[in-house]
Amino acid sequence: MRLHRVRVENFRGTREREVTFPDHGVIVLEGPNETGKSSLVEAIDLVLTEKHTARKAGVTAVRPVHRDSAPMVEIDLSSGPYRFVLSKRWLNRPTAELRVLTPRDEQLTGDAAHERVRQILDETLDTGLWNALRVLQGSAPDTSLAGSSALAAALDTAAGSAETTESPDGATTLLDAAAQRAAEFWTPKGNKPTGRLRAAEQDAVAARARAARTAAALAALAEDVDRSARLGVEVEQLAATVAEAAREADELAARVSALDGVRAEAGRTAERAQLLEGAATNAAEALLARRAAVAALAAREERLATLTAEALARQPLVDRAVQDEAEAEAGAETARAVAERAHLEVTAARAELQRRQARAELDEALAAHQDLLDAVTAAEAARPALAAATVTGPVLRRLQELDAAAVVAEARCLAAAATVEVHAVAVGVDVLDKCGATVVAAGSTAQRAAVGELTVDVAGFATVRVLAGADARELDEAAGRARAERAAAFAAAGVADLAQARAAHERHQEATAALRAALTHLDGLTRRTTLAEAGARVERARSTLDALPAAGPDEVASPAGDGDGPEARLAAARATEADALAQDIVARTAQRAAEEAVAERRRDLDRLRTELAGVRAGVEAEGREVERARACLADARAGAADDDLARTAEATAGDLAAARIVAERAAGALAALDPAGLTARAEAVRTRHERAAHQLRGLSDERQALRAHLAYVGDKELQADDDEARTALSRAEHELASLTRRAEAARLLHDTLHRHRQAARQRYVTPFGRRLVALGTQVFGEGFDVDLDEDLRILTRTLHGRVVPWADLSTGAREQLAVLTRLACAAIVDPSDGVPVVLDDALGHSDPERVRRLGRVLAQVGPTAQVLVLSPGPALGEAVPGAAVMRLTADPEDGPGVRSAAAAAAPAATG
Amino acid sequence: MRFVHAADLQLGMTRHFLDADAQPRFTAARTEALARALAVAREAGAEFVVVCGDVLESNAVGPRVLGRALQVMAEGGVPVFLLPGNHDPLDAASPLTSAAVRDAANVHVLDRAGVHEVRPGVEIVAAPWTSKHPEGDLVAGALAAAGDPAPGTVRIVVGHGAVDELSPDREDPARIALAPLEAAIAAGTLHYVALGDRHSTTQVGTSGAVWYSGTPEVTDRRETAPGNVLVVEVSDGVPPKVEEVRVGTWSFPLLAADLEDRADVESLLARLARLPRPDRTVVTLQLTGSLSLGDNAFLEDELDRAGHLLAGLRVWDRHSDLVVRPEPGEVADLGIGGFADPAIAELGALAGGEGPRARAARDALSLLFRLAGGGRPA
Repeated sequence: MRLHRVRVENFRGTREREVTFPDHGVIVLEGPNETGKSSLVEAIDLVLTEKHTARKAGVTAVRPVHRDSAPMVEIDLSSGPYRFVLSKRWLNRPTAELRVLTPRDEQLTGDAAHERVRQILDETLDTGLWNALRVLQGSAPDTSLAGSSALAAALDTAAGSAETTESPDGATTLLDAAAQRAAEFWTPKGNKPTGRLRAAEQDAVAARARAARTAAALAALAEDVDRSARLGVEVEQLAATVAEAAREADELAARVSALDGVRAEAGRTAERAQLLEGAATNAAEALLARRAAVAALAAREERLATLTAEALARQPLVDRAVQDEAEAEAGAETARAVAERAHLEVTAARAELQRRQARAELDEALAAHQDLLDAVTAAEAARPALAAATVTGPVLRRLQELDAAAVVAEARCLAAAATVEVHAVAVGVDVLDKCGATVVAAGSTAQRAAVGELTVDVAGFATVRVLAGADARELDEAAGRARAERAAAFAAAGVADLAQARAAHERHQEATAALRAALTHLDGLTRRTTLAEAGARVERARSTLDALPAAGPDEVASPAGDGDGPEARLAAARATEADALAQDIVARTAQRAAEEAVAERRRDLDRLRTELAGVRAGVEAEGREVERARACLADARAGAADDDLARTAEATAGDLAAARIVAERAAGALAALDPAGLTARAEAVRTRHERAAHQLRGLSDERQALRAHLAYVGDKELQADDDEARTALSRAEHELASLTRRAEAARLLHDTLHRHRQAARQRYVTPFGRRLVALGTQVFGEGFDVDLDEDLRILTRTLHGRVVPWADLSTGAREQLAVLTRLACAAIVDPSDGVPVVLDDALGHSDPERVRRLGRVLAQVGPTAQVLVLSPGPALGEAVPGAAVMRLTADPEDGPGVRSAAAAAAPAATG
Repeated sequence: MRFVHAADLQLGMTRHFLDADAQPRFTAARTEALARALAVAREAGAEFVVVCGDVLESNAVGPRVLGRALQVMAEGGVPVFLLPGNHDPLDAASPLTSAAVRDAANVHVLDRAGVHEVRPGVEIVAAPWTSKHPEGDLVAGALAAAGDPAPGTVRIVVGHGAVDELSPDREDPARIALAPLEAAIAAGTLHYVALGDRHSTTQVGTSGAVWYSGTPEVTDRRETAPGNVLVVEVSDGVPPKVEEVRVGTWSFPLLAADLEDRADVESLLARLARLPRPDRTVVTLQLTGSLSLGDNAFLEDELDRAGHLLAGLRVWDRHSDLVVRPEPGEVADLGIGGFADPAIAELGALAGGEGPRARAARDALSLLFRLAGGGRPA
C-alpha cells in the first residue's frame, strides 16, 4: 500500500488539512503536541474501516468539540494493482464516494463504495502488517509481528523456503478454524476435556452409575427370588424336625415316670446299710481302744525300768570327775609358784643392766670432756712460738727487694767507673782505693775500678790519684744509700743477712702450722660437742647412775667381774636379762595350761551332775504315769471285760456285710435304667423341639415378608428401569466415543497445523534476525545481537557481551528496538506487498545520538518503503538524511479560520 | 386338530441401539405380534395357542407390559397357554402367578410339570421353568410325571430350552434329550413337541414333529429366520402338518459394502433407500475399502440423512475397515498452501498406518477437508 494524499476536514482539532506523500522515502510530519499529527493516522484508519453511516463511539469521538460540523476524510492511495480515491463524511449528511483509477475506472457511492474498498483491501492489503508496522504514541512498544502474511511470505522467500508462497492466508484461516474446533472439546492449555466432550464424559459416568444401580436392583431381586426358594426348602425341613422332636419327647417322658419305684427301693436298702454301718463302727472302735490302753501301760512300765537302771549307772562317773578336778587344781598351784619366781628374776636382771648402761655412759662422757680440755691447752701452747717468729712472708719479700736494689746500684757504679790497670814493673805499687790499700807486686798487674778516688802510689816515685767523674760519684753515692737502707732493714728484722732472714721465715711458717693444727683439732671436737655440753653430759650421766638403786649384795659378785671391760660387763648383763625373760614366758605358759585343765574338769563335772539329775526326774514322772494308767485300765475292765468287747464287734460286722449286698443290688437295678441320661435326653429333646419350633416360626415369618416384598417389587418395572438405564448408558458411551473421536481428530489437526506453523516461523526467524542485527548494529554499535522467538518477538538483546531480557531493557532501548523491528520488516517485505511504516512520536525516550543513528537507518529503508514519522520536535527530521519534512502548525479552533495551507512536503536540505 | 405354536414373545424387551423414538414402537410391535398370532389362530381355525416360554423378557418387566398382553389375549377369542421359560421362570417374582393373570380371560399358565387337559382327548404335557437354573431335563421330567396317555389321546409336549442335538454346551444339565421324544413320537404316544428358546424357526430331528417356532418379532441381527408362528395340524397316525406364518414387521439387516469410489457409495445409498418399512428397520453397516476425503465426506453426510429415516443405522466398527485417503491434488485443490501442506502430508502418512492414531489422523484429514470447504456442493 502506498499513501499519496490524505485530506481531513473537521477532524478533531483540525478544521482542514491536506498532506501529500512522496512515493517512497521518509516523510517527517513535525509539529508541537496537539497539532493533529496522530489524528492523521486515525483518519486513515477510519476512512478505510468505518462506513459513512456509522455512529459508533469511534466516529463520534472525532467530531470537533465546539462546532457542529461533519468530519470528512479523503484519501488517495494505491494497493496492489488498484489506485483509488475514497472520501467519506460522517454524522451530518453522511456520504461515501469511491473513484477507482486503476486498473480500470470505477465509480461508486454509499455502501457500495465502502464494500468495494473492503474488497480491494481484503484482496491486496496485509492488514496484519499494516497494524504491525506502526509504533504509536503511548502504546507499549511490542515487537510481535507474527500476524502478517506478507511478512511471512517475505520471510519465506528470504529463508529460501521451497514450500510455497501461494496463499498462506488459507493456512492461517485453517489453523484458526482448527483451533476453534479443538477449543470446542479441549481446554486451551491442558488437554482436559471441556464443553460437549466434558459433558459427554460426565453423562457417561452418570449413566454408568445409573446402570450399576438398576443392575444392582435386579440382582437384588434375583437374590430375593433365590432366597425365597431356599426358604421354602428350609421351612419344610424344619417342620419335619419339629414333628420328630415332639414324638421323641413323649416317649422319653413315659420312660422317666417308670423310673420312680426302682429309685425308692434303692433308697430304703441304702438307708438300712447306713444304720448298720454306724453300730459296727462303734463296736470295732471300743475294742481297739481297750487293746490300745493295755499296750500303752506295758510300754510305760518298761520305760520306767530303763530309766532307773540308767540313774544307777551314772553315779560312778560323777565321782571320778570330782577327783580329776582336784588333781588339776593342785597342778595349777605349782605352776603359779614357778611363774612368780621367774618374774622376780626378770626384775633383778633388768635393774643390773640399767646400772651397767649408766656407768658406761658416765665413762664415755668423762673421756670426751678430757679430750676437749687437752685440745684447748695445745692451742694455747702454740701461740707464743708464733708471736716470736717475726719474719713473715711480706717482710722477707721486702728484705729480698732491698738486697737486690743494693746489688744493682753497686753494679751500676762499677760499670760507670773507669778501670785502672796498674802494672808494677819493677817495684810493687800500692794502690789505695776506698776498699783499702793493695800492693801490686812487681811484675804483676792489677785492675781496679776508679770509684771515687783511687790513688796509686809508687813508692816514692809517684802517687797517682784517679778521681772519678761526676756521674761516677753520683752512682757511688746511690750505691751507698742502697746499702744503708738494706742494713737498716736487716737490723729491724733482727737478722744479719738474707740467709738468716730466710731461716727466720721458715720458723714463722712452722709456728703458724702448729697453731692451725691445734685449732683444727679443737674445732673438730667442738663441732661434735662443745665443752659446756660435754660437762653437762657428765653431770647427767652421774645423776642417772646415782638415781639407780644400789646393787644387791649378791650382785657385787655378778658374772661381770672387775676383770672384764665395761663392754663385756654390759653384754653379760644383757644376756642375763634375756635369759630371765625367756624363763618367765615358759613359766607363764605352763601356768595358763594348768588353769585351763582345771576349767575343763570343772565343766565335765557339772555336765555329768546335770544329766544325772535329769534321769532321776524322768524316773519320778514315769512312775506317776504308770500308776495312773493302771487305775484307768482297772476302771474300764470293771465296765466290760476284754472278751465281751471282742464278741460284740464280730456280730455287728456280719450284719453290716449282709445289708450292703442287698443295697448294692437295689442300686444296680436303678443304674441299669440310666436315670441321669434319660432325664438329660428328655431335656435335650424338649429343647430341640422348642428351638426348631421357634426357628420355624421365624422362617415362616421371613418367607411371608419376602413374598410381600416380591409382590411389591414386581410392580416396580425394575426390568424397564434397567433396560432404560442400559440404553441410556449405551447411548452415552456411543456419544462419548463419537465425540472423543471427533475431539481427537480436532486436536490432532490443530496440533499438527500449529506445529508446522511454529516450524515455518522458526525458519523465518533467521533471515529476519539477520536483517534486524544489520540495522541494529548501526544504532547500537558492534556486538549487537538479539534472540527471537517464533513470533519474531525479541526475547533478549545482547550488547558488548551483556545479555539483557526484553523486560529489563530501558524504555529508550525498547522503543529503539521496536522501531528497528518495523524497519527490518519494511526492508524485508516485497515493496509491492509493503505498507507504510508509521512512527508516531516513537522515540521520546531516546538520546540525541541514538536518534541521529536511527535517522540514518530510516534513510536507508526509505528508498523501498514509505516511512511516516510523526515528531513533536525537529530532531528526528534533521537526523534523517533526505527526509521530506513538513511542519504543522496549530489550527486555532476558535480563531479566524486560518487554514493550514495544503502543502506538499519537499525534501529538506539536511545533512 | 389345529393349534398355533409360538414362543419367545419377549414382551418388554428393550434394545439399546434403538433411540428414544424407536424403542416405544419396538415395544408395541411385540404386543402386536401376539395379536397377529391370535388372528392367525382364528383364521386357521386353531383350537388354542401355546407360547413356549419367554412370554416376558423378564419377571421384572412390570405390570404395564403384562397388562397390555392380557388385554390382547382377552380380546383374542382363543385360549392361550403360557409356559414359563428361562427369562420368566415361575419363581417367587413371577408375575404369571399374579391375580391379574389368574383372572384374565383365555389365559392359562402351564404352572406345573405334567398333563394339562385342553379338552377331552387333547393333552398338553408342560415342562415349565421354576428357576433360572434347572438341574435336569425338564421335558423328560414332565413326561415321566405324565405317565402313559389314554388310547386315542392327542398329546403335545410344550417345552423350553436347547435340545441336545443343537446345544454345544455338554455341561448344561437342562438340555432336552431329543431321542426319547422322537422314540415316543414313533411309538405314537406323542404327536408334537412345541419348543421355545431358539428365536429362528427351526425344525429339529427327523420325525417332522419337533419344532422351534422362533420369535414372532425379531430381537437380534443374528437371528436367521425370526418373525414367524407355526400353524400345526395334528391327527392321529400321520405326521403333523406345520405351516410357517409370518407375523413380524421389524427387521435388523446387515449390509456389507466395499467402497472404493463415489459410485460404490451411491450404490450403498440406493440399497438403503430401497429397504422396506425403514421405520421398523435397524441397519448395521459393515464398510470396507478406501475412500477419498471428498467421497468420505459425501458418505458421512448421506448416512446422516439416511439415519434419520431408519429405526436405527450403525456402522459395525469391529468389522469395518474403511480407510480414508486424501487423493492426490484433493487437498491442493482446496488451495490451502503454506505450512498447511507439510502438515497435511504428515497426517496423510499417519493415516496410512493402523491403530487408533491412524484413525485419528484420518478423522483429522476429514475435518481438515470440511474446514477447508471441501465436500460442499459446488
